[in-house]
Amino acid sequence: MICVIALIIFSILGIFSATHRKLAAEAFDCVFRKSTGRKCASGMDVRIKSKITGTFMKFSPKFGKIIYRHFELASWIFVILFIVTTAYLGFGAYNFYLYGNCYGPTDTGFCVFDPSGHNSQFTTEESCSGNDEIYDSLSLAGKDLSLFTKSSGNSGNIVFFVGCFDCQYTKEIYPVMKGLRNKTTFYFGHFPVNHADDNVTKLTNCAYYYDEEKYWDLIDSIFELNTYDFQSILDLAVVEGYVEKDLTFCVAKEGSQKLYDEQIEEMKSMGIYGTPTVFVNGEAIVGPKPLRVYERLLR
Amino acid sequence: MNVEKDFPKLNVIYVDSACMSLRPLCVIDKMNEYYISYPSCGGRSHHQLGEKVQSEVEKARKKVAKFFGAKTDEIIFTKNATEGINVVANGLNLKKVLISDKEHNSNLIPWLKKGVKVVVCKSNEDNTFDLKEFENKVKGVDLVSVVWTSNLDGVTNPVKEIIKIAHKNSVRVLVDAAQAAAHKDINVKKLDVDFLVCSAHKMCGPSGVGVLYGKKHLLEEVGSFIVGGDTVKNSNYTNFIFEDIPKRFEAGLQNYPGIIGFGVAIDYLSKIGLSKIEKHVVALNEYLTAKLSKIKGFELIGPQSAEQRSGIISFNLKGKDPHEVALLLDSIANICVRSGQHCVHSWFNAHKLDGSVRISLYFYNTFEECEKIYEEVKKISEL
Repeated sequence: MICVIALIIFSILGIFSATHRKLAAEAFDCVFRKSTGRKCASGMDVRIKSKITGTFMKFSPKFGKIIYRHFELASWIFVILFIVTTAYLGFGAYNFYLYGNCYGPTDTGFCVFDPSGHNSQFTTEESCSGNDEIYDSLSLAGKDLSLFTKSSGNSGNIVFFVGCFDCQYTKEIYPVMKGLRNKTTFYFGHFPVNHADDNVTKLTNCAYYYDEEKYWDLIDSIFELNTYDFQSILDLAVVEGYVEKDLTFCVAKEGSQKLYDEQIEEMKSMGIYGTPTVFVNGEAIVGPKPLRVYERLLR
Repeated sequence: MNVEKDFPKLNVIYVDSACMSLRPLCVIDKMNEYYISYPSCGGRSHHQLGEKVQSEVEKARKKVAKFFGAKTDEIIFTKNATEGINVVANGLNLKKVLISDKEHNSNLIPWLKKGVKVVVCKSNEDNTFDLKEFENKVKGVDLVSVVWTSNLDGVTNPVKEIIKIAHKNSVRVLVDAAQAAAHKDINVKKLDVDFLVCSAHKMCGPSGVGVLYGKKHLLEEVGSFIVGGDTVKNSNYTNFIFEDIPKRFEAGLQNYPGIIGFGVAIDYLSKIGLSKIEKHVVALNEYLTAKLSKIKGFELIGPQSAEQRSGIISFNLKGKDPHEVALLLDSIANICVRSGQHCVHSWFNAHKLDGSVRISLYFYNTFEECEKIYEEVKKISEL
């Protein structure tokens, strides 16, 4: 049975090395002969068994003896484990392609294809890298997206991007979102997890109210900003062509506060627990994923 | 024997000397001397380096000739014993050859390939040579080609008697002394052997060097097997004149460092003394055989008496694959033994055996090493 594992491993290694190709051929011969009830002519099974047993015997003769006597059983166990592991690996690879991590759109467990866990990082209200607590299930069902800012793009694909200006992972994903903005019906919701400065959100809402075109340029500039405070963003808005007085007047209005509260309440009711969270045609994805993950969900 | 300092340290117990012996540092140094001080052609370039090479090669030839009690022009350097046998097989017009049933492929395939009728002399029950059977079969053959000491089980054949009987029947004898030359004092004149072959790599010498000894007048009868550079005195587009013996048989550039190193190996073995080597090896074999025989499932191939098996212990452990035993010895305790059919497939196939584990001892092995081997084989037998 050990030759089956050897065949698979050496076949993979054989892609890169001629020595392993030869071993793969030996393993194949061994598997073929054994499957037809004959003795393995290359002696590969004996070689592997002796090497493994010998290694164990050096450290513990007793354990080596057990391995030697039950080698076939141990080989079977290894083959089964190998098959199960390979299946999981395939499942993980499939999920990685679809969602950018091994387990699904919102899971954050360790993924071998993304060992640093970068694709699954998000920012929560508790900390800037917290990712251990998942709240309600994320859903847009019955939610009112008209509360949020919307790009001029208009297509059958609806993207709702929830992020915060001062969050690392939102900043990382923003260039991807910018790409999606022009080809989808794109909504943006600011979910300020790091700073409880309501005025920044209100300021951007006001900017949207005054000029939708300039608004998206302002958002682009804010995400490039390193310092984050109301005054800096107000200065930026002025640079973009907004009138400072208009904006400060708008921010101070009661209606701005009301809109802000409604937006936050609506996002919380969607189950949002961290940023970035992106809904593509209703399907939620948490953390900065590769573009392919979002594109796959577009119609 | 206190020879440890003469050899490079290997950190293994090396008991595969029937395949290849270890080389003492003096042999390695001499070979390096060639590469460093006179790395040149012998026998054709007359500059100082070429002359030095030729003189060293001839010195080595003299040493080898003296070692075997032969004349220098009866010593032909070959690649190994196998090539020596091939030279004879292809150079003589033979119809029928008598061999023993334990011949190495080197002393079987050349005859089969040449289409010579091969008569096999079966061994006794205990794997020793059956002289009676031999006497019955020797009549009418053109050549007897037998191994002196078998690499399969270490049994030494009575070549002196074999030669006497063969000559009485006007049959020439070729002796494969690949194993024997490393353990026995050999005098080809006293033995009256017609052809004898051996390999340097089993005699503390370098790889790729062997010797074919032949009585001068018989070598004259042997046609050249490989011809080319250095085998002719002169040639034109239609003809050529052969060189004298031994050069006629040494075609092309030779393994000069190997030949020169072999000369030093001969000095080294002579200094220790072949009889002393044989005595030590048999004593080790006796000790180890006695110990191993106590192990349950130990099955010895060949006679029980160590004296009849030189430095070889060929065995199986009941229910265990010989390769497995060898690999375990290697991985558990760094003990290097050989396993398999040892190039004597014919015998193993006839006896329906997969192979054996072969321990082959030499003068650099010790009783402590034998004790360790015994302990490890015992451990494996209990798995």
